Amino acid sequence: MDRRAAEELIRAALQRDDPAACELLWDRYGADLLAFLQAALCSRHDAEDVLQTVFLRIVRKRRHLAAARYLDAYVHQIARNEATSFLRRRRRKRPLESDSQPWLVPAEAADTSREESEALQAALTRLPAVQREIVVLKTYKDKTFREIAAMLDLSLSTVASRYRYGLEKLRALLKDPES
Amino acid sequence: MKKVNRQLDEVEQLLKRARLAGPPEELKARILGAAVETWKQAPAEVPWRVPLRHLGLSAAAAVLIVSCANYYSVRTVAPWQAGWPIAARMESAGFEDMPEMPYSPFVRHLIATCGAPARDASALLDYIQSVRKTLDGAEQDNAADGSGPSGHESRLLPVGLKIDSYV
Repeated sequence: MDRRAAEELIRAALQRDDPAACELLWDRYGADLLAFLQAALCSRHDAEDVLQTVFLRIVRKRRHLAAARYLDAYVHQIARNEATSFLRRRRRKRPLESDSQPWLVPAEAADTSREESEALQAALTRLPAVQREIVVLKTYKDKTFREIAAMLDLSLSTVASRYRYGLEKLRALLKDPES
Repeated sequence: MKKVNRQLDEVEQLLKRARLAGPPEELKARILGAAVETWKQAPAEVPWRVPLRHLGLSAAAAVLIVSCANYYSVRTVAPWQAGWPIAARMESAGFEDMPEMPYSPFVRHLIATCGAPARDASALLDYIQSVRKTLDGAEQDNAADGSGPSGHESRLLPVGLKIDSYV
């Protein structure tokens, strides 16, 4: 479905106060938000939990969402805020570490071994969060720099430079994992 | 530069050999169930109340800030206001309260005739001290000259004024 048409449907459902808007929101934003949260939190389990929190917050603020000028920006802002809060709470308890459940798995088309995907996941985890999010959204969700800039509320040049620095650092990490 | 770009392309190709783990179906059911449940339990806030509430909060905050600023401003400036603490202290003090005021009837006469401000007690005291010294000096001169007080006219007292009538 066209992005604009999907947004119109969502707005209409929100203004009618129709719970069917929840499924429309999931179809439009669910996969992207999960990808972003996996990149931000480096944990599939935590990403799923935070995704639920994000949806509950969207439901509570549905009137604000219906009146928001840019639906995408509003929803992604909620996700960023929830991820930041979660990270702050989690850092108090334990440092950032990979989950037992991998959030990066071998692609179907490629004959990638599980060890290879685990190595990629470990290298991505060691990237700074601001670079990792952009690399994951660009590589695995095929987002353009412009779309990523809108999602993360950054300038186009910032997104492009962080993507480049992220790839350079990944190259160094994959070449020498001990560094 | 080309070499760097080629290396970065290789990294991208390497990354594409993996994919993100997609959301399981049960996750969708779990999240949508919780969302619909919350939707039914929590009614949406009426839109016009939101800006009204914001306006009320802003107004309350503004009143609080201005009140605090006024209070601390007055408190800070007060000690430098002319005669504030001295005047406040002097308000309750009358000349009758001052112990051992020399020539108190004479002082009252001075205030009445000269229009000296009732609160300017310290300046008045200084003036009285100077008058007293002058009078003492005049008395000593008289004693040295042999002339009595009755024959001497003080230059400081108004003409025709007899100090004895005020004792």
